Amino acid sequence: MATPLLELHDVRTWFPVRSGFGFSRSGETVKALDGVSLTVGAGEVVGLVGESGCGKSTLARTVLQLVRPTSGRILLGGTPIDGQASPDWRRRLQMVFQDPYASLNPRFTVFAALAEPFRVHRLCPDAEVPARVAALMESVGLPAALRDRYPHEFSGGQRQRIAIARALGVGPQVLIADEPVSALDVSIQAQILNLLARIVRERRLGLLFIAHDLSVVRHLSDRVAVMHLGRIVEQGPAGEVIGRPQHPYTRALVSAIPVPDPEAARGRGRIVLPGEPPSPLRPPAGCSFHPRCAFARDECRVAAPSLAPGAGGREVACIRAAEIPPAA
Amino acid sequence: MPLLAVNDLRTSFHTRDGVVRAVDGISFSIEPGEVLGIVGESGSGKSVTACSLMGLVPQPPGRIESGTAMFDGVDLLHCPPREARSLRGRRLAMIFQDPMTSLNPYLRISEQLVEPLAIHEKISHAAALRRALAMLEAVGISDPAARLDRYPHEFSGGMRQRVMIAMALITRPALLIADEPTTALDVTVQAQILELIERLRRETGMAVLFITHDLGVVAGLCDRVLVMYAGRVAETAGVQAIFSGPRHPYTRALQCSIPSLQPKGAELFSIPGAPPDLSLPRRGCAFAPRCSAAVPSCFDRDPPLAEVSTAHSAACLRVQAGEL
Repeated sequence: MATPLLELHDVRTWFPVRSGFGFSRSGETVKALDGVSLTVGAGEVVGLVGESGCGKSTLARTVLQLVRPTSGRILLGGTPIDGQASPDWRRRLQMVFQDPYASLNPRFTVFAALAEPFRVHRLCPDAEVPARVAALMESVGLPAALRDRYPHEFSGGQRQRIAIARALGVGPQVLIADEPVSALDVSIQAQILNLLARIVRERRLGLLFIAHDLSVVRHLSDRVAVMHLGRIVEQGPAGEVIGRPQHPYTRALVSAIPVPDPEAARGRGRIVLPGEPPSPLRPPAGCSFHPRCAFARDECRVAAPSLAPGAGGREVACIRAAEIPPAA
Repeated sequence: MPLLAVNDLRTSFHTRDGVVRAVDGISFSIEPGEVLGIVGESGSGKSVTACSLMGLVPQPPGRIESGTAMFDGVDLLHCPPREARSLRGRRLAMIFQDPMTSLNPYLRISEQLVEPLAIHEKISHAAALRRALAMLEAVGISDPAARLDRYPHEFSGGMRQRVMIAMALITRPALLIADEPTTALDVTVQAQILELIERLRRETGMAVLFITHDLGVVAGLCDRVLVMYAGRVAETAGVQAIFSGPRHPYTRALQCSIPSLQPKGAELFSIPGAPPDLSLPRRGCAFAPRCSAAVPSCFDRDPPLAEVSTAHSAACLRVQAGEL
């Protein structure tokens, strides 16, 4: 692979915890991201999965500099993003959010919403804007005739198309999509997944696809990274990580996916994790998964394991990964 | 004899923009100990069906236009309010999608757990608390004695859902209505809750009406499935038949849209268009405008729900004529 488009090197985003009414710092920190390294190449879809509170969305917000990382480096096309260097990076990096109801301005028509990026970034003469907007709408499957409607006149799936069109308008190299289909019904979800796949193929974009639904991630992604409490615990080719998970947490996640096939669903052994997910405020010592892990040993309670090469071109952060027999 | 028999239930909402027929004539029954899944997309009438049975449809604007729901020899839709109240919360209980909005934030969970007992059973407060404690333990809350006096905000999402299940089951109902109880939860927590519902059903023999949009959850849990579209039943059959041999074009299309069943990277099948506006008059099959198998007669004649093979019914004229 050539130089990846988006690179994260050992990124940490820590939030100070404020006590009482928010005036004083309690000295505690929530380590939302704790040493994350990740790359996204051109034409590549990287799926980022994990459960609520694992830091998926903080990662997206950190890359976009909506929150500042505590340490680490983020490179776009080989040059660091640090908020000041070149304003140009915002054009090359765009985001699609989960809730298309909240991320579109209700007082902007579709045309106004889509025309704004062209004007802000001065991408073309004003006279050309209407034609560019029309082409953009067609490219995401919205009839250009609907340009004067407001967001409330569209269905959820159509709004997500508008949000995608708005992100694509400035011609980004990397798109970050944070749970773009989780608010949509199955039949509409399929339309949006097809659209994203087509966009990546046609425009050779890098797509960082954040989702909690592993079956959606498996469908779309080339590579998958699994996060647990601010760290990546397993990453590698999508088929390997989801088809033959090695980290005990990935195994539990994969086995918990409801399978739409009654025989398979009842025949397989579902791993039901004991207890509660750990609090990010007081993460367990050592490997953050050890309190719920069936394979944990004394060593696991001491030091947090780092990512090490595993089978099938993947990396796993588990000291016992090689010993644990493969899942059935 | 079925535990619950719903016949021709119609519930509509009278709004300024017209009458929305949210549930438009559905019939089904549940046997004791059975898990019946109702699946469908947003706006298909799943939740309104459940709320109609529980008397939770706000009237106005809602109105139950017709139908009967026989449960324990009582018609839930037409009996005197006192009679319905004595069944709801005792023989018939419901859990909801969002446990944060269905638990009272001002009350300790101990007070909320014993409330159904205080209303329906004449037992002392101490005995009720003992039952609450045992119930919390049964739903898998560790150290229940210490947690009994906590407030809902002190619990995680999965824990709150367990508390709500404990509250619903404390009177040992014969039927539990579960409206998307795991939709707001993470997959590993969802697996815990589904396991819990399965175990409680095995142990207590209660029947479950499980409402969800997730076909995967249905496959693992339900005995029989009802697929709803635009306020009506599109297809109903045993869980095996729904997945291995779906007949109605809508059920087939839904299955093709699920990513996990498709090879990686293949274009997913997607249903063109959007569900119909339920405030407009219905003519013909509601799915016809989006159906790849529709013929002109589908737009004229309303398809009745009819048996297409043993214990398998579909509301599609072409399936019934043996053409599909």
